[in-house]
Amino acid sequence: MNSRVYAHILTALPCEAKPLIAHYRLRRRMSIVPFPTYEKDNVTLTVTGIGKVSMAAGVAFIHQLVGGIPNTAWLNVGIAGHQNHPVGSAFIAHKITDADTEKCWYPPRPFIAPCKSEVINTLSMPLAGYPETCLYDMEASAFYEIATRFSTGELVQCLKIVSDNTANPAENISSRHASTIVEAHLQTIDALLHKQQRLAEIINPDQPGWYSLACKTWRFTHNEKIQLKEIARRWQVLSPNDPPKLDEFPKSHNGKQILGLLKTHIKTQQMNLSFG
Amino acid sequence: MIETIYIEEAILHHPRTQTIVARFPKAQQITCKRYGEVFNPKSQNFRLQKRKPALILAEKYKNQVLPAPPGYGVGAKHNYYFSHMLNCLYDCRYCFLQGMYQSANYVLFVNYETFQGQIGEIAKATPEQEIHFFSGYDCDSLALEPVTGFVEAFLPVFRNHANAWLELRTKSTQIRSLLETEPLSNCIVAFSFTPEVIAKHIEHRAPSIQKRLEAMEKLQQAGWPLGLRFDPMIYQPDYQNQYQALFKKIFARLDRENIHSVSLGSFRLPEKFFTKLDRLYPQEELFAGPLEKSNGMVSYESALEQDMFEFCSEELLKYISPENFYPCTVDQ
Repeated sequence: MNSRVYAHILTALPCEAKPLIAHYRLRRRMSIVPFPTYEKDNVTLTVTGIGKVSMAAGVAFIHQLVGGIPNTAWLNVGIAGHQNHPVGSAFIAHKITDADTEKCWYPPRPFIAPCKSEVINTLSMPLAGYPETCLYDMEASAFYEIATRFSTGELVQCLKIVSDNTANPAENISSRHASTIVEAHLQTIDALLHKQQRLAEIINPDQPGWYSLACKTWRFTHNEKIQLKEIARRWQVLSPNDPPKLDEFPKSHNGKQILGLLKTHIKTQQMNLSFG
Repeated sequence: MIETIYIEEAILHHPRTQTIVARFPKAQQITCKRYGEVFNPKSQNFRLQKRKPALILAEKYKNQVLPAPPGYGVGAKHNYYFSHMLNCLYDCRYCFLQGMYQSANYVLFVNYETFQGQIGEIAKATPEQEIHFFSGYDCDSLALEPVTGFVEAFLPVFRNHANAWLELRTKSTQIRSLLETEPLSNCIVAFSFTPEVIAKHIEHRAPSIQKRLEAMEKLQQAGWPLGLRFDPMIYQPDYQNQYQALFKKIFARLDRENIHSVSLGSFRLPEKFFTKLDRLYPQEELFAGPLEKSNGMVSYESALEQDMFEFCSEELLKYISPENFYPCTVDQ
């Protein structure tokens, strides 16, 4: 699952995480204590513990841990109860409600979903029975509410696998059972993450290589680096096949002077820009 | 085409809702209390949603008909606009909708009768004065006609109020509703154009110039008043040749004596909108052009804008009389 964009998977329980850790060959970062965190090739998995507070904290934690990069892919994977959907069936959320606050969210899905979708109702306490025909869990609303502070809604998805229903109550769920039903949907999870990462790549374009070289060659202030990023982006549009000849720029120049030279070139290119 | 339909609970059983939903039997229907729950949240990406927009059916409770912005008009003293729909089928890269709305989903207000009632009241209030009503501000007026039935529903209102004029602003070729009914002298079908090379590059999903002209010819033959809207003008190094060729092509196909109005406008966006568009499409060539920020707006550098305006005005006036020409200048 190679992508230059991060994908963050969050589960509440270790048994939910287990098959994902194996599938993606994630390695535990032992130095990280508050939440067990696993990582490989821009995929992270965090086990947050049960409940909204734990999940919200886990989301914020992993976001900061990877440097606060915006608009990455987020996926909450977990088990949930439903009145009558078969145990082992998987759904992504098309609507998430918080039972306490009655807030609602509607995760946008600008892709062909790899499985059916359902409403998720997030509870603070386990419920006896299944009053309505929706999925019941304990983390999705917090996951979605907090993750969408860091990323756009299209990249934040919840996937739940039915672990219990009227005929098979929650008391009978074992850790092993939870791992088994998650494992059965690795292909679906893979497909969903892939779609999320492809979308994330669209809105997170690569920085051209000469940007890093320029930062290493000359000293730029923080603001000048922001300007340089902007210039690099414009240059990529105006002269994609003709990067600046940095070796011709005086090494003795400061950041401001280098920006001036680059801006002058851009100005002349703007008037000559033809579509295509 | 539409795979998800969000429906406000209050209008689940509205006849128009039922008709529209029946057109998309395979679409997933999701209810919500108010369309804003789906449409307004900040954490949405217009660009990503444009890949697969959903349809939101809603009721508009207030501000159905609003006074048009100053300078927006083709001759009348009193100008209003109304939007039965938010967002457009097409994906023109210069469009301000990308900067204005969080979501690219289509919102369709099914309570046409409320809009119609307000239009009627405004028209009746000053029966001796011509009042223009512009549709196509927040969407293309015709693009989704087979789904919305907008033209079919609203033309009778204007048929009954001779002082009320309707402008249908469009790039669409969905003109069947118009061809199947008697033309109205107080309904202008106004087509927007940019030169062909620009249209191909940045008017994504919109019908070609050729197709639009074919539609215009049919409408003109049927007796519909037509408008031409060259707005916004887009700069290219070869813009003079491009606009000359466009005007030549258009006026070779249409009877210029029977064009109601021609308007010309510059490319300008509020700075906030432009910043959003630029972030959505960081590699867009249009936004890398010779633009400048001034007084909260982004537009072409003033000397260039002036040159383009003068050139295009001069060229257009070779084909049309000044009485039918409505240049949208900055000062208006």
